[in-house]
Amino acid sequence: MGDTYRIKDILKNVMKPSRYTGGEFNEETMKEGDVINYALAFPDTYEVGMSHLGMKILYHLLNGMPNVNCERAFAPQDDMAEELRKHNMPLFSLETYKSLKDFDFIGFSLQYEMCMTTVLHMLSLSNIPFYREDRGIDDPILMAGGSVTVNPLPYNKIFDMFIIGEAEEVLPELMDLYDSNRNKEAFLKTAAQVEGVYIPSVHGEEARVRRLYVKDMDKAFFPDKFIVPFTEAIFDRAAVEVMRGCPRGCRFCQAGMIYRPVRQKNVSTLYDQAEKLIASTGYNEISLSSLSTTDYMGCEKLVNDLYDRFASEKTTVNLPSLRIDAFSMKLAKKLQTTRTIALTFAPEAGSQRMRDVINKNITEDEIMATLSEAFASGYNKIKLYFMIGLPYETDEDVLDISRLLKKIYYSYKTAAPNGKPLALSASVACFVPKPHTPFEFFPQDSAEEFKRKIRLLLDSVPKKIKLSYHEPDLSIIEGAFARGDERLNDVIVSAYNKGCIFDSWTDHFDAGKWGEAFADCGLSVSEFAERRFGYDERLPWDIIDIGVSRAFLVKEAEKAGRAETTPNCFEKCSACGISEKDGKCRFEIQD
Amino acid sequence: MRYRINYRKIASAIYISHLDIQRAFQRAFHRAKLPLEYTMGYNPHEKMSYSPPLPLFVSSDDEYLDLDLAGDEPAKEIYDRLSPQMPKGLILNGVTKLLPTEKPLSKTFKWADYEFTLEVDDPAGAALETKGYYEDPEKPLATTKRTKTNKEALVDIRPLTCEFDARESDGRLIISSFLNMSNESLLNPLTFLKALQENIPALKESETVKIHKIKAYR
Ligand code: SF4
Repeated sequence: MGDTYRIKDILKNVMKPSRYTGGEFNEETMKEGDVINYALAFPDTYEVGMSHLGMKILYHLLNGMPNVNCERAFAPQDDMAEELRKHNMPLFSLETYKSLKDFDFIGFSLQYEMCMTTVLHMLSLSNIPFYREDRGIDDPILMAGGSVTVNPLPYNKIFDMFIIGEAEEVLPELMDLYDSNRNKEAFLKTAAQVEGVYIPSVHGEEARVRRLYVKDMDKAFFPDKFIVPFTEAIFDRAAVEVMRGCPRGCRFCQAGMIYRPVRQKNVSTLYDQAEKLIASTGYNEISLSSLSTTDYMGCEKLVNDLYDRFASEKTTVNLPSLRIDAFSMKLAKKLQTTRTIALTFAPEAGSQRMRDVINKNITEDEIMATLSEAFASGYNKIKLYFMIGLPYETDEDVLDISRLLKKIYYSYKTAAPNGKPLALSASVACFVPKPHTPFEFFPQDSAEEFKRKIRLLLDSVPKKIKLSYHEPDLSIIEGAFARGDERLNDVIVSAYNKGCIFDSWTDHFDAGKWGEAFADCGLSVSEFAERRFGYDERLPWDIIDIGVSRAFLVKEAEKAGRAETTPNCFEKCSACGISEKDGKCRFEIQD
Repeated sequence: MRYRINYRKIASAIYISHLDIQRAFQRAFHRAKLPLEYTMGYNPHEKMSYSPPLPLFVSSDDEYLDLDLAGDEPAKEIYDRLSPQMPKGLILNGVTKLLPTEKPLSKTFKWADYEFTLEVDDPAGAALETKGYYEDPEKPLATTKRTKTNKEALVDIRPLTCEFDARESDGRLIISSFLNMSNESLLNPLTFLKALQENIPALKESETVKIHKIKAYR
């Protein structure tokens, strides 16, 4: 136990102190004795981290091992960080108030590139040196996992090891391996032999680390309880994961490539898991989570079964990701008793040509039909997601976003069943070419180009439609990190030293400081973000074998240039490379 | 049937806000599979009401909430089902059935017995001075507080308190007092402490270690 008296003292001076105390219902009890101490660290606030499904899975999985105690740590808000510094106290874990420095492992979950200064913030508050070379044998082993690690080079001087892919496949084995001698150096050497593990100090430049993934989702570990936070998390609900991966193959989408193949759970498995979670948490909302839940083959049956089971208990079922099609509308209508919640859809592009370039297999007719159905059923709040800066995009394509928005807006006037005005909003993201996608070869637009295109939209979209857009200066730094290499380690440290932290929050993000950080290292954002790679060039992230072949990515990139589409995995296999290694993909499920 | 739940709020539960306590109870009721009754309307919610909210950082051995349930099960049964579903630091003392004639919680309690533990340089001396000060009606004991409409108002805490005592124990100063708990003139323990610390010279530099509500009286 840490210094609880002093902890009490500082908790009096911070907002929502229960975020720092642990003790929530379903928190695991820590084992006595000489077990491995693993800190599961999320480089964002408690509210964000506690909403992340992967964290929940790993937390209960590790605590289920007889030789491991797994505790949680999050990034403290500014007021708490200040108090810790003022009282000269280290950042502590929620379960036993232990300093992160006293753990055997700190496993960071990296879900987006811009979380890295927050990682350094947590290390700094724990008095742990940033660079692995500056850390000693007694310092914790720093692990990184999460989707950012599919290009680990920009962070390979900071972390001791990376887990590439789905960590539940290998963490228990790694824990037992560490338990066999409890020596950091020896462990790192042997762990380098384990599939899915990248260890910068052992693996050379020519390494080729294969991504790990769960083969059978029905047999995979899934917790039958979630910790129930006292404060409101972003998502306070029982989330069951209906499938991993997405069958669609949108060419811009990294998740659609790095979680292949689609792996679905059986309906009965999901029903059981939902029932157990509702019983153990007391939540009154079930969320069917995945990249594209309406594509899950058992979706309709599962929704009906859960609805029938829980409607009388005032427990709702919710679909977080809707496609713009008739099937999704049908389910949404069944589940949403009130029409007050906004329906959200992602057409991604305004023109048909552009949607074909990105392989978003949806036509304008389908979009219009789905929306008129929504209007007729009384929905009058619609939110649409678009992207600009995609490969092969012209100004016409950008302007087509406004054309489509106007068309939707005016179609509502004729379809609306009541006199209520339509609340139509559009969110426009700046495209980031991500590793392991068909667009990995393409340069990102410059910030100026993004701003020019945003102007085109602002000037052409009527004021009644609410238009919001991502900050271009932030998107290009995301682009630089997504596509970067080991030279960027120093940029992160430099940016942190200049005061950058919580960069994904626009109120904290400081483009000027980031520009200086790149310049101080003799680098520029554009040389990474705007770099074009040749189809046969060696890419920084080639040390990772994601399972999808280069030949497939090149073919998809070329088809994009011709605006040709590719069928989804459920319709027809396009031989992306996954089945070559692991056998033919099979997608049937049971009730 | 209406039930009255009596509970303690101690240890790390003192960091949970009143709103979060309500949510924690709702989750616990669901886990305990209690036959909840819901309000009508668009956003149905459980029918429940609370004793006046306890400020953050204050612990209590005697908090209450009333809950409506469908059916008429023995109070013991409700207690047995709910008790294991409570989060750490929120501990059930007991559950009782309420007669239809019972007044609502907001009108039930008149006084709350509080104990304040403070750190001061000379606890024994401070105890004497504090007691003497309180017992001298000529000495001012007023402070400002924020009203519901967010204005500043002056409150004299003397008429809102009774059974006042100050003593030294284990090197610390212990102040105990009954604070008015009735709806119209509720005295917040933080306001009470602020009044003492602002007015009594020996308490100016004191550090609050603990504020604890021992019991609520009708
Ligand atoms: S091998 Fe075929 S079916 Fe399997 S993920 Fe690749 S494209 Fe889809």
